[in-house]
Amino acid sequence: MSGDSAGRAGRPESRFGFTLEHWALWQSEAVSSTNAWPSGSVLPANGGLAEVGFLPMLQRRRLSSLARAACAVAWHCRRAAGGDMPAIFHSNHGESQFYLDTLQDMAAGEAVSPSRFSLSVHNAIAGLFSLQSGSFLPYVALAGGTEGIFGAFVEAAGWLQDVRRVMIVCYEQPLPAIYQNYAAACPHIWALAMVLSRPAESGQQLSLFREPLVGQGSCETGQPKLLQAMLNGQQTGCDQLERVRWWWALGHD
Amino acid sequence: MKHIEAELKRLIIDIFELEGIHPEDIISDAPLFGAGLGLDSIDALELGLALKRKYHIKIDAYSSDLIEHFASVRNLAAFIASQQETQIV
Repeated sequence: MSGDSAGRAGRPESRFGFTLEHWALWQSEAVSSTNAWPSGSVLPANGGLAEVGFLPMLQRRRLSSLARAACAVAWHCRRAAGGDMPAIFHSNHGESQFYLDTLQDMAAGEAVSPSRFSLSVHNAIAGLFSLQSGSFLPYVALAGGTEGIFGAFVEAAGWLQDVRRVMIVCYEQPLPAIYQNYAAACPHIWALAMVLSRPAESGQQLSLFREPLVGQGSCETGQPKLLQAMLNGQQTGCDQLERVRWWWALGHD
Repeated sequence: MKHIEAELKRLIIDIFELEGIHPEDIISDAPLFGAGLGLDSIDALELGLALKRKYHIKIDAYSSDLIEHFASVRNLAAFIASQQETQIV
């Protein structure tokens, strides 16, 4: 991995390199994936509810649509990778419907549902997945900021200084209507998991380049362009956020 | 008391979204938590809240008898019945 900061003319630029060992993507709407990036799977939309038949009923019952999506892609990646590894969970807004319900109950002076509360915290999905997979390795839950999902890659680059490989799991769902005037909209539920390791001689190489923007950029809304690129086989492109542009390139050896 | 037991089984299936489980699958004197039905401590809190709403009973979280009351559907039904009698008196 090369996390060098060029700092040209006072504008720090950063490059990150990974070997992309495997990936899994799920969206609540059916998509064509005939040209998708190699070494990955697009899981069936399954009527808008990701398939989690691999879990016993008592574990399934706690999962929201978002949690099902995140756990399904994480499960597939972990199985494809053939073993356990530390994981970075990332979402901008997480279980927004759950914490809105909790806040509305409180505002109405009603008792708060304990299970709803426990599932509304930002690391709830990461916690559920670590229980499902019986993992004792480090898990972290990041709340997205100005770097969008690329914050998860920055974190992964850091972890890969210490461990051989790491899984990132990014997921988002449409916000409840009450929040929609205040944040970028996400049209449907999606979840993406990737198994990343250090850059190597062989395997798919994923390069990321961070370009800070001068002044205020126009923030693109919806789901990250990276997801669409993975689905239709586009190997280079960029996602523009408010203050930064993230370029990606997939290379094969 | 039997009708409270039947109501409780329905309530437990509904609030915990126990797919594929029918009231008759829940044995009245089997443990609700841990081994039996496999419910956990968060479920215990959730069940307590649902019982307060449905039966308007008071549950003292510090009562040493609470584990016994929540041990099985049968114990819970007896506890609810005793609370309702207290309220009527």
